Amino acid sequence: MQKMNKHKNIRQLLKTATGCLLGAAATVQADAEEVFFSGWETDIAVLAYSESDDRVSAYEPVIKTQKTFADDSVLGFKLVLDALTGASPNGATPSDQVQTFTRPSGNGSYQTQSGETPLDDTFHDTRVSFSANYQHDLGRLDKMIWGGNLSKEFDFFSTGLSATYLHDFNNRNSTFSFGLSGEYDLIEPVGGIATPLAQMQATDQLQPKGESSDTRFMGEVLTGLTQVIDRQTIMQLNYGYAQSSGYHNDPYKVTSVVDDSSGALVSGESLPGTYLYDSRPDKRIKHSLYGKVKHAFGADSADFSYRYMWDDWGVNSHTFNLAYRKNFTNWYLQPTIRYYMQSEADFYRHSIRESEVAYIAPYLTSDYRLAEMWASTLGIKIGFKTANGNKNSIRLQYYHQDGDKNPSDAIGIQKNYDMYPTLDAFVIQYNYSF
Amino acid sequence: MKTVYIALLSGSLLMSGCSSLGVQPWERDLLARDDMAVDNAPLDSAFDDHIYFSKEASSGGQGFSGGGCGCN
Repeated sequence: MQKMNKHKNIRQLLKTATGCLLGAAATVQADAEEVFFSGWETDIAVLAYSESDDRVSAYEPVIKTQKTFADDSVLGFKLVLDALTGASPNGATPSDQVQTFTRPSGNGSYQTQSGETPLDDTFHDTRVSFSANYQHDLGRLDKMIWGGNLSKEFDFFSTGLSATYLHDFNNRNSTFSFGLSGEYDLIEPVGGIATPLAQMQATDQLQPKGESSDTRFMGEVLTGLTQVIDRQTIMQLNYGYAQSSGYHNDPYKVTSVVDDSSGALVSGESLPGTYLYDSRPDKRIKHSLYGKVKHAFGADSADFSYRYMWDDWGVNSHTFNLAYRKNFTNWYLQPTIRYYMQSEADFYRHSIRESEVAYIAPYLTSDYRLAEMWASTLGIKIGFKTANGNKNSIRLQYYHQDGDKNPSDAIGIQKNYDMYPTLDAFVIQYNYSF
Repeated sequence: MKTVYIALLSGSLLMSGCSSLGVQPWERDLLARDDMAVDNAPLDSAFDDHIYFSKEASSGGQGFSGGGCGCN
């Protein structure tokens, strides 16, 4: 009965919407539209993300809809908007002097007070992402899932395609999956592509920037096995291989060059400090092993997952995730905890000494995301159903990321400052399904 | 490369061991529950993947690792 009401509601809504779009003539086609428009299941969600210390804030509304047709095929669409503002660490280290940086556009500059982590406050972007997927059977035990996505933001465009084959066997207790995906990215940084390892220049000088854009391509294989263990337990194991080639630098990140003994700023060609632009390899190969176990404890359930990831940049990471869902008659409560730790990339340095500049191996980054670090997330989700059976949920999360604030190779004055930009973020998300 | 071989070998051993595991169709009552789907909240997973993709050096595992995002 609830389901019938639900469909009736959706039909009414869609009829109204279609009527508005197509005008009165739409009524003639109402029956045909009813067939196509009925049976869509839609999720709407909004996420608000906020970092402490006036760093990044993001608002992300999503709408996702899918329909299962009579032949069991499934067609789905998803639209995501993502609006970001705030400040982001630019890679330079704190110093005992006021530091001046040129904005990525080359127009204007920003300053960081002594002892503070340099943050680029020009960070703002809006992203629109659209994806579609289609799933269909290939005989009784096999199926294919096709996916495509387009994503556009101010300085970035991405498009990707994927195909995944699924095979059920062992009385449908086992599912083998094999997927391929390709992604093409076009990077168009504000101010152009910075020359790797070149010095940031003052606003009135010519910036070391060349082309206006560059590209990157990524190919990926993901294969796995999902296995029913017993009446209460199911598990999944995946292996992923991803290879990307092209532009991998962060065009907005720099590395500080400091005095060999005092750790103080070294005068640059046109700025009070010396800052070198990010330089990363033009290839990256990543592997991941992922395992998940889900178990029913009476009316409740718990899931635990672990991922080991390693790449040819020297990064390896461990991710643990545990969720427990306590089910009540018409609602549930789900606390989660996640722990993540990663090693640093071979070419990560919080800063370099002046005497090293002439000998830098070609790669250098001070992007905190390639540093040794660890992070934990605590979350809680509450879900409930409305009187007509539609699902609602609210999720709250707190994310804390930390790294080596007092590294053993800090020089002179650097020992007085936090050398890792600790991050605290809060997330609130609301989902509604109808 | 050695790790890849070990991973593939473990994978095939697991596959061959699967046949002794599982349930009969009439024993799927608990597994059929919404909360027992392997990924029962794909929107939540997508939000999380997006956040972690932009803040950490790792991505993917459960799904493809590409982010379609210039945030990292």
